[in-house]
Amino acid sequence: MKRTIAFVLVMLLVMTATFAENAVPSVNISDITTPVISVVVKPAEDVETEGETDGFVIYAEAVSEKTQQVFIEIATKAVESKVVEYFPEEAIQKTVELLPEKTDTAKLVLDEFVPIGVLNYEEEYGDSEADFEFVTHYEEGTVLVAMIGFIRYNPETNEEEIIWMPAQAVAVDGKVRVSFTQEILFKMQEQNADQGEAVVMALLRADDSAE
Amino acid sequence: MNEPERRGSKSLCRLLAVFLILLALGSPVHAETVWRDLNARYARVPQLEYEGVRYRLKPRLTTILLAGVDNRGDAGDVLPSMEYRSGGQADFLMLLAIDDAAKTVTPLQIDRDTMTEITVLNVLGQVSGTRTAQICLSHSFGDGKEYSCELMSDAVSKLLLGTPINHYYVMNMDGIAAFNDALGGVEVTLEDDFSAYDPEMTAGKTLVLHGKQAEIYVRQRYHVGNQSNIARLRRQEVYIQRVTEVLSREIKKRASFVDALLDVMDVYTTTDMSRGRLINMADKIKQYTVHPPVKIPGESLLGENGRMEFYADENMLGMITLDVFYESIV
Repeated sequence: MKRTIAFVLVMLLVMTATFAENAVPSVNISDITTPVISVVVKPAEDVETEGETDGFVIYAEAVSEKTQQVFIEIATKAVESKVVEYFPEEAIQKTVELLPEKTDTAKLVLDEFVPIGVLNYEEEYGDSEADFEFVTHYEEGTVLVAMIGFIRYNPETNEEEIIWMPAQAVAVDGKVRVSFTQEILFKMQEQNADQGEAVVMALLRADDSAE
Repeated sequence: MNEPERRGSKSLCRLLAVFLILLALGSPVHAETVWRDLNARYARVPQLEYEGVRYRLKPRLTTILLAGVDNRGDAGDVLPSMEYRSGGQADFLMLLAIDDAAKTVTPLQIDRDTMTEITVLNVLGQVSGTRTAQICLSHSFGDGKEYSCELMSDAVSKLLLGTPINHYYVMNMDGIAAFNDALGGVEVTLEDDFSAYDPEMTAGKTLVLHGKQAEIYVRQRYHVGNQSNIARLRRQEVYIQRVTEVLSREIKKRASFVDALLDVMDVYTTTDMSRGRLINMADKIKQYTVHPPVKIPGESLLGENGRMEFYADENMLGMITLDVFYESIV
């Protein structure tokens, strides 16, 4: 009996160690939580663009101190009251226009928060759509909306501000298809990271069980 | 405790035997009155229908999920948006079916890469839906403690036709160093060179492992000797042997040593069972027959993202689940 005493704790730990070092890389949580983004709509063939690019990309940016702070502010409001109360009234009014009739904005919850960027976008491309593959496999019919936030410095007020613009979002094959207007994409392209500007996307979902 | 004569995996059976015995060791000192919860008497016994036959959960069955968690991939500060997605993955999973009527214990081993439906949380920790993924990731969501264990138990239950998981006992591999040091360190002779991890750990040296050295010794194989898993398994056997010697010596000195050891390991374990319940259960099943571990057959494939995916054979999974946990209703 005493001889086997050692095994109870060591074996659980050691067995974990054994499995953790397989030859094939073990799946890690970041494998499914890192969003995969693919632009769905490419520019039409007859659109004349400068340069040799045949399209543009939307990508997930690394989290910065600035974008983390925005997340914390939204999360804090979500804990204190409702996620929707974080966003300006004007932005919420525009959001309502993108949601199904009778959607209770008080039931919106924050599912995802990701800094994003765009590369090689040109105004001639117009509106576009991008599929975001998040950790959640969304069923079709799920009520979603994306809030695009532009963090920038306002020289008039000498303060940093964030401007929110809603974008339509629908579930397609488990992914979230976000409709980016030309206006949003152009603003994204104009953001200057060197001056500390950034763009974030907050994905909101209507949760009827939310209090 | 009787040791089973035939084993699919020696180490897994030793795990089970020692887990039960160690708890039983504490029983003379810490046995406490456990008032029987009578509410369960009136609860509906879970039933299911499978291929036209109705089954019910074996009446006097208790299921306990054992798991070993590794959250080393999340070393460093966790971003606020990842707070509920950094619980650590369950690299070792085993479900014990304790049948009081038949007086048997059946361990069911679950491959950590088993593809199954898991619950996922949004960035604020709320349930956002489900997805199919490796079952080891089910513990990654939540708080890394009770909530993660509940999500993991839920995933295992779903895998096994909704079989209820009564309890869980989960250990974090961070505990290797603490366990090692609680013994006063463990002496080994290094056959290979571990200086890539610790300059003190050179080949041929005999030293008493302290802290992280213990984890390096049992866990690492890359940049160590021939980097083979076989060599690592050999080191683990040596370590276990040395630990057994140290433990035997310490227990002889004082009977309360095991209890003190469990106190040290408490911070590395998460369970919904009180120490008293654990001890009472171990005491009860000391005389039970322990069956060889049951493995679920299936196929391992490389996923699109280059990670291993195990697909359990559905028919066999159903048959095994029914055989271990259910009885047909005549």
